[in-house]
Amino acid sequence: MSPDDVDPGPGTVTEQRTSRGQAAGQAMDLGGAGVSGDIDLQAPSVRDNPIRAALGLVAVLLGLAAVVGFDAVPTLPFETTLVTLLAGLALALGAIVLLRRAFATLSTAETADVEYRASVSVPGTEFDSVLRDAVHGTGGNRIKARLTVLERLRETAATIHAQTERITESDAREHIAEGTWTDDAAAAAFLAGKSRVSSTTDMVRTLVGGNSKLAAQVDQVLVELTALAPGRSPIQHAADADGDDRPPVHSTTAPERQQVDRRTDRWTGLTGLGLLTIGVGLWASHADVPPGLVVSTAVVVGAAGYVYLSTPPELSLAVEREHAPAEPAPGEEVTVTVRVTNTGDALLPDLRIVDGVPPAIRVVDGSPRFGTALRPDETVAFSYTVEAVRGEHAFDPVHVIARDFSGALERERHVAAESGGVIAAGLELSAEQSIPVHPHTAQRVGRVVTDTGGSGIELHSVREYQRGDPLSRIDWNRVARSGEFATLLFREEHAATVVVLVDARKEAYVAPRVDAPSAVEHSIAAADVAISSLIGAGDSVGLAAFSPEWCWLEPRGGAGQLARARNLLEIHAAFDGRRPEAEFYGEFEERRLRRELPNEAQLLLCSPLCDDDAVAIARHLHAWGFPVTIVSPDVTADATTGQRLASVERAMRISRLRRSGVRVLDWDTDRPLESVVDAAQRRWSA
Amino acid sequence: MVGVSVVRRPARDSVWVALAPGAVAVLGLAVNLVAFVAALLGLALVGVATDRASRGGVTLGSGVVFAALLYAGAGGAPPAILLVVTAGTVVTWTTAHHVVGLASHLGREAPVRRSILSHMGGAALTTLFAGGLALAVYLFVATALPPSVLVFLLAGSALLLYALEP
Repeated sequence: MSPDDVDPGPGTVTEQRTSRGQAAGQAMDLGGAGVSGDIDLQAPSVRDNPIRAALGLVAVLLGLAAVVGFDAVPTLPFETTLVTLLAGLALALGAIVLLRRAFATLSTAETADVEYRASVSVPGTEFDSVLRDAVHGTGGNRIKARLTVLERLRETAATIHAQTERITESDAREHIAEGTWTDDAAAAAFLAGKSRVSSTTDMVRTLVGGNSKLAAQVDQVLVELTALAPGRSPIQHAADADGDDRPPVHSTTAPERQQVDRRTDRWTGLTGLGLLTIGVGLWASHADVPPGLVVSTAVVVGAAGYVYLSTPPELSLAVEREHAPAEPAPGEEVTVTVRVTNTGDALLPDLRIVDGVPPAIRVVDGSPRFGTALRPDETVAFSYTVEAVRGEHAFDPVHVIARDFSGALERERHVAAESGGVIAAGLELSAEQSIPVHPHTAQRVGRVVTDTGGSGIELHSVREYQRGDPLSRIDWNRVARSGEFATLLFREEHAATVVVLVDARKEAYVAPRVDAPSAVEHSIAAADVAISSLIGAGDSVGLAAFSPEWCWLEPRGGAGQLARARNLLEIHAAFDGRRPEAEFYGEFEERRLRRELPNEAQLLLCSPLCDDDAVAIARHLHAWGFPVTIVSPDVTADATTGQRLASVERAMRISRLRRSGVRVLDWDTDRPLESVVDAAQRRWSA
Repeated sequence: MVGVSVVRRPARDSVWVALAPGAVAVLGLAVNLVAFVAALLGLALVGVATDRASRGGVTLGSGVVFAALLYAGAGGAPPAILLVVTAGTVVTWTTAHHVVGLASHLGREAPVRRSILSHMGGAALTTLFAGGLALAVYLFVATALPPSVLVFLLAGSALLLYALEP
């Protein structure tokens, strides 16, 4: 093996992204290298079937010659049988050709869901899909799904029951098996396995539009669990059967920016119709074919000719984009206008355009898509409105699909715009204002009282007066009593070292609805507020991220550090709003973080706590001696059964963390972070 | 702020535009009652299928209308009417597919009027032109054709059609 055979490995995530970006950039030339599919895109042609075409043409010409009077056609023997045979053959052939259509697949481009933010998942959707399998599934799948649902609910119920009653988990499981964990009979019976819901009657029930009994019982169990779980308000309404119309996960950028030329095969089976017409005509009245049907056949032949006459569209476009206002504030509405010009010589009869909205930005009004026909040198413009998000966001190339008149040939390209490629919005200025916490407790945030004597609040010791000691620290009572001068020493307070950790793994990209801001966005906003308030109080603050992209800012104090941290939050790849594809290797990252952290550092983790890995990392770091405080935006919803379960599981994680000594701030994202911090400070200092 | 969502089903206007030639075709079949009723059902199926973005339904519905027109044609409907009916059926079928394809690429909110009209216009022109030619030939050739000539013509066209299958 030569050195050239050695696989250098895929490289870090950043390198992978760079190389993919370069590949996409090269492929972006219009009609240049990198085009796949039928390079010689041509219409279906008679050259595909030369013999049949030639024979058919000869026969037709002879027949036409006979029509106009030449004696070209000999009289055939057995005419009537021949005609019947021909009719049968035509009908059979027509049926075969039409049958091809049933098995033919349409080949066409796929467009991405650019209107949405980069994919976020709603916590609880996979439980919902297991529940749906348990109700609507068939055979083995249904039984397996039912068991999964039962086991998951039992596990959660055992945890909650054990905690609220302060008994062990095995005792709790016994109670659940007996059904003594709750007063509600239906819920108790379900978890004890005593309720039998017949699956066929259930399916019939759902077919006629009612609610499934199994789903209703599961929901009843969840209502009970929510009532028992700490920190959850009881649910009043029944769960939605299906939640949102929209799929929970979608792709917001074209999967690979491929440039493809293809035949769509949408006209497969057309000539079968023509053959059928001939067959029917011959069958209906032997040699005396109804003239109407001959005309119909001609129409079908005309349609086939339409396909044959199609030419591949010549795609040569110029795209310009502009947005107003040019420098938006985060959350402000920006109107994006896209202008597309046909710079080629030919008419483009079927042009479909999808603008490349950046994944972290979503569309709030209008549509970033347009379909039209463009004459040469004609320009078309369309606009839509987006909501600006902090940071710099580059637009993806415009996805263009062009077809010819008949729709049989298609070209797919990605065209970069010549202007207006980036929307940049600065971080919110509201974080400049200081948090309205009580001044007394502000000194306790991050303030560490040491055992060194010096300036401070708590009395430490007394020593002999030395020249230069501040007058405010002289013990005047002693001077009044005995005339001696002595200096009081207080316990010094040093600034604390706090590292703010933002959870930006793919498991943290969760939101209560697919179009709501994700937990990562909330975490970034919380990090911003926390960093500016901690720096304002005089502490040393650093920044790090749980993400496949390594991010580390060493803790330092001062306004310069605030600017550095803000800059990182705006432009670092870990915080760019795109859900990472790569895995996050918790152990490895944890060790790396421990190496970098200074000894007395405290950690402030911003995470939605919707999965168990975050909890594990927090507990490890806390156990290693770095006191952890967690700010957790509550991004669970309670519309469907699965979402309610996710909400209960999150509450259990929070309570488990609190029992380990980790402080958790459960942040309801409808309220501003400042007032939540204020309430928590009062609790913690009481 | 709630964002927009992309619903990959056609807008109502597009569905009506796609059904218009089919409506003309169904009206043309009023000469034959059975064919008329069947075609009406077929057109309704095409309408529902287009609204739900179901390509299979569109093809099935158009197939029903085509079967109705074959029945009418075998029963001796006038060729001029059958020209319009066949053209209407084929144009509705291809426009409905076009509309469904546009919806799957562009969603419901995107403006697509020009694209639909251009496709429909092209299809209508071609089908009417080809049918018109055949109609002219029929009107011009008044005499009855001997069966063998017809056999040659039809056999030849069948071969050609089979060869032309896209």
